[in-house]
Amino acid sequence: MNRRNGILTAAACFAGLSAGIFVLPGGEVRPPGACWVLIDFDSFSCGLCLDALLDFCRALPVRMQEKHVRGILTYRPGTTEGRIGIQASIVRKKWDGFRKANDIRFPAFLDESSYFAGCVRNGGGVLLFDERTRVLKSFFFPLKKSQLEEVLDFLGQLESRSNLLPSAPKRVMKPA
Amino acid sequence: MTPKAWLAWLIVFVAAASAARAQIRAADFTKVTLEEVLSIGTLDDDTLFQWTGMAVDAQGAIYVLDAMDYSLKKFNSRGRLIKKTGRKGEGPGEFRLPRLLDCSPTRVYTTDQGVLDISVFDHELKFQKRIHCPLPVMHLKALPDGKIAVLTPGLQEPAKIRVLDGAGKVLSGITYMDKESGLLMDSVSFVVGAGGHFFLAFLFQDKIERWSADGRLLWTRNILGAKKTGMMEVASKTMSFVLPNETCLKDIALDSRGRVYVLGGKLSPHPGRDVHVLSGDGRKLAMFVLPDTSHCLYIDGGDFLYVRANDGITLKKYRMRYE
Repeated sequence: MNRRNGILTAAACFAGLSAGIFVLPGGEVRPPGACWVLIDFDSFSCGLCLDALLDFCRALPVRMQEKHVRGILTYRPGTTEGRIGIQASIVRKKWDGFRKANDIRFPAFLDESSYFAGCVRNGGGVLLFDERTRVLKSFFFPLKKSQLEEVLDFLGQLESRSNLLPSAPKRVMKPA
Repeated sequence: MTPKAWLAWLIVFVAAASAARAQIRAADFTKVTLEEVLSIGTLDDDTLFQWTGMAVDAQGAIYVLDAMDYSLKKFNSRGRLIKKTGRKGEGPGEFRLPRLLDCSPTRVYTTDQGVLDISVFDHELKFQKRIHCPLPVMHLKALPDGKIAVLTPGLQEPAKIRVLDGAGKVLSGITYMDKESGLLMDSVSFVVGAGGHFFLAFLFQDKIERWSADGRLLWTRNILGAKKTGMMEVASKTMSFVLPNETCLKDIALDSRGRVYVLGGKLSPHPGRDVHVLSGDGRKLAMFVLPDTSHCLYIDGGDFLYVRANDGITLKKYRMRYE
């Protein structure tokens, strides 16, 4: 992806997130969680590249993961000789094995249309979507200590006002 | 001896030589077809997630490292999972990123990317010990006599293949490049054949070599028309490197008759699928194309071929038929 397309895609992602709505295959979706983890599938072939993601996941309390965190698996269709259908299944399967082996509790959604591919770099990052203040913050892996503290603080605030969380999603997204 | 007798002897000698040559040629082949005999792991089960290294023992049991769930798995010859060990970590029997595997008649050897030691298991997957290596192991082969051959990278000096004993003591080795030709350009995959000969496939050069156990170059060949890899510059604030960015060759294996199988890399017409077959003396015999891309080749004692499919979720075993 060239720089211009990357900027346009990032801008589109930002606009969608600011509106609190995703347009993913299957329709328009209001995110049920508030902390979204962007995971770059291409980094799965480099286990050491996943350390930053794992460090982040380990820092999140299990309850927070299950309740307020969601993942988005991004990949670039066609990198495996155009076998797009098979590749989506491969991404799902590898995430499943990786998630179980590392006791990751948050579900992840497969970005089949590569909507977020332009937003990830060097293994992905974290998006904090605060529907109350309508503010989006993004951090790329590896997170600095201050950034991690901000994420944990944000999740703590969400937990304390959990009864004010957005209502259920308009459409149910099936986790990968 | 009269001139007539000389002539008669000459005719007999030439005839005998021709017959011998014809016999050798008859053993050559130009076409290899594959018949799938076993497939382990599907997109719908939890058998394999991303296998990296594998080997087969004399009983046909298959040992596989899985990088996605940090495990070492043992399958019987029918492909049924009979044992599994390992988890994420750096302790005994644990893995961070399991990568290379080979087995001897009694041991299974594994490596972890970024970890210097070689982990040793028995055939029941019980962790035995670690063999310390002073440098990261880039490639590993178990030898039948309990020794191990390892490739260690060359940073200040050319890369070497060292033969270690079971305790990690260096017994011998070969230096196959006598000068620095660029970062990673000395990266090879290797296999050890009869007489302790080393067969090398250069990952970033179109070059296959055969070396004797005492470090003599016996032959060198190219199979991709001497294609050269592209280079890229990686720069940071303090330094910059020039690295190759396209693989020429990916792996090398030998069958029981000493034939050499080389898996083509990015510069091959079908990256990760083209398998070039050479005779032990370096003659090109055939080429065939795998149904799916693979990162490695393995040939067991019965000359069955093992390769990857579905991006590491599936392990395929093929019977090779020569025509």
